[in-house]
Amino acid sequence: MGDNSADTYTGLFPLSIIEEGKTVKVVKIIGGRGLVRRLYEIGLLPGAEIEVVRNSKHGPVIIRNKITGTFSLGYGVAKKIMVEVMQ
Amino acid sequence: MSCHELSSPTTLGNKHELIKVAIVGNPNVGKSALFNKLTGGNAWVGNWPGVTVEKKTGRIVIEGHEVELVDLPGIYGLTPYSLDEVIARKFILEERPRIVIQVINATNLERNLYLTIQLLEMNVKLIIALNMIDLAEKEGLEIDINGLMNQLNILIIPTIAVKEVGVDNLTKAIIMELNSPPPFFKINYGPEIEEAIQRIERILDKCEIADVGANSRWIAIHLLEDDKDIEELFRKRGLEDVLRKVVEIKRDLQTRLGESIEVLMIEKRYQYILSLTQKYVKRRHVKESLTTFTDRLDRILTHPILGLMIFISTLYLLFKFSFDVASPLTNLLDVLISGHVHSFLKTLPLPTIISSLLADGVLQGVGILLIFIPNLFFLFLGISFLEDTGYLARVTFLSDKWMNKIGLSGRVIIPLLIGFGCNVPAILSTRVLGDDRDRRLTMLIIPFMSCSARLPIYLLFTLVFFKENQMLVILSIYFIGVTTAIITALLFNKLLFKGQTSGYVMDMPPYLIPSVGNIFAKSWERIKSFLVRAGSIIVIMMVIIWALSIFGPEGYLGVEALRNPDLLSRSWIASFSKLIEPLFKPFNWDWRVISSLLFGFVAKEVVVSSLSVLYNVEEADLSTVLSTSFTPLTAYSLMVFTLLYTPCMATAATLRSEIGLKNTIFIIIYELFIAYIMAYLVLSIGGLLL
Repeated sequence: MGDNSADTYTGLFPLSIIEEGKTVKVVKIIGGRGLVRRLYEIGLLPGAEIEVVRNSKHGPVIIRNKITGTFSLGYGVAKKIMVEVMQ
Repeated sequence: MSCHELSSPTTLGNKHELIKVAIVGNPNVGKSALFNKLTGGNAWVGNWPGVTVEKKTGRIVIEGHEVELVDLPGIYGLTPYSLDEVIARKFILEERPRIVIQVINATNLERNLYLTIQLLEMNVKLIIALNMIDLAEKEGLEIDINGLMNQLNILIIPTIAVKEVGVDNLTKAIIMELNSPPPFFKINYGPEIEEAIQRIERILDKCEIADVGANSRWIAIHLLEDDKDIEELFRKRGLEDVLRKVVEIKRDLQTRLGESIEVLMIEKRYQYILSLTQKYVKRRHVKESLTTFTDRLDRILTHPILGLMIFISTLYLLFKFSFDVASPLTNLLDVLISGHVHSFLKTLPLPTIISSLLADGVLQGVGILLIFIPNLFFLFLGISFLEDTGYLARVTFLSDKWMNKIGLSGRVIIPLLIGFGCNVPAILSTRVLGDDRDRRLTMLIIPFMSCSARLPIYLLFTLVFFKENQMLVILSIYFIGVTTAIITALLFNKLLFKGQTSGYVMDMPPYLIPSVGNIFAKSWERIKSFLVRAGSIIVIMMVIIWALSIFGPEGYLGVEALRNPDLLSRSWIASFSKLIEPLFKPFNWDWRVISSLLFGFVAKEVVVSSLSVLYNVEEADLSTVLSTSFTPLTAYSLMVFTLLYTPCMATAATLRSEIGLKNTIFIIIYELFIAYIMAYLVLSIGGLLL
């Protein structure tokens, strides 16, 4: 995902590569049961719209959504959340 | 008794009965602050049965009722993820507190209400402390508390824990709720799921699981959501056939829904919550809210370069602050204990061996503990301050990228930081890590964080040999510790803990001005965990070492041995040191240095005082003696060795309680080995250079 214009995002991407300021929709979460459940419980369910507040690229992200509030997700978690970019 | 009945019938309050009240909530909602205000600081820390997680309880009397408040670890929902959360759920489920107080962060009702819904589904008697209500107002939120209260049929008390607002109302609410019936609460999960719940309930009604601590609807819901703990419980009771039937019902439901049952159920709960907040919460637009302020500050503080630089400066200030402020107090305590109290004990009309036991064994041990306290306290004060402002959450974010490179998550940075103060609370603080692999790996490297007990050793040697570059040399030692930790993490990633860290999930609270009382309470708690765990061990070990010094292969040497190097050289300690002396031939350390290192296993700072005894000089004159028996290079290699060679007794004991004896012994051996290698490297590389 080198060049970053909004149109380059079509299909599913890990949250870890989405740039700051974009709003994305969670499609699925790949991971162990404990982690998936944790993310669901704080409101990061499939279908949830989240804003990427901070992304340090190949590092953790900070996201925000009405239910979840502001959360920081480690890189290990962010790359397991598959999202699609909203226009 | 059939499954759907409650395990403990609600008895009406008799005044002499102890009323158990649990306090729960998401992380970062001000739960601990509220607990401290409710108990008036009268809390004590014990252990949860069977595990080593600390349990905070406090007793208060409200209108003649004796109430025991239990502070549970922060949780987001009732499905456990980390060790902390297992405890919280277990307590609610198995110990059945009479009342549960959920502390809610009013600025984020939606996420917080998820736990509320789960608690209500369990039919627990719930009181909500709607905390940080002032912040919610500032954010432009208008919450119709009465409306919400009537809808959920529970008491909701607005509070501002840090300012003690609403605390009285909360205690009154406890009494009001005592005799009210448990609430009835049900979410409609839709026809398909509801039918499955009823089918499971019918199966449950035929079996004996009344002591699970919840109603059968709750159990059915959790079985549908693949609750592993409940399944385990059924298996233990030999109820596999029930589980098999449940699996069938689930498969049936799954094909009808075509979607994950779990997701649908959580969605239903959130839909319900959103319907509540739409009805009872109004949002006004505010120009300068806490969120916009936080965002602006975060642009700098979480910046990959700027943020990192600020973090490093903050770290430097933190250590500088804690050491500078503590040093006069440390010196004062030192003079008092090893001077005045020591000589006072010696003057008591007691047999010499007893007075020596008290003064040189017990007091020495107590002294070691006390001398640590100022340093630790100020460091923890700083860390708690950073934690409560919300900055540590940012530090976690900043470090994640770097920590990932050594196979750990950013969450690990906080235990490592605490490790610079004392390894004991550092190891305890790894419990918040959700991932067992991360936890074990972190515990393995924590002892390489040079704790404050090791500083006196560096100070002594640098003062003698590196007077000009003292600060730089000490820093280099810390650096070697961190480097060894990194190498260890990388090595064990390859060998033992294969795979990657599962990362972290962490709330990013807004920046707040912390409450002084809370910071003090938190720091004191961390100190207490050090005292409780390390206290008795250090004192007992000190007495053992005292005994090994005044007895030798030829028998009792007399208490003079402690002051007389000739006598001491015939003690058990000396004999053992001489036995292993050849091992340390490359370093040119004689038996006295080795003995000091053995003493240092109790607590590393003892190395200095032992050296002074063994060389038979006052601590102040130690430098002259050392300058003749060491070269700068051998001194430096000794510093590196003391940095790395095995965790101290207290740390080892904490490790043992957390990960077992076998793993602890492994860590001790590994670290001895690494210390030897590194000290040897220093010597040979230094020898080539000089």
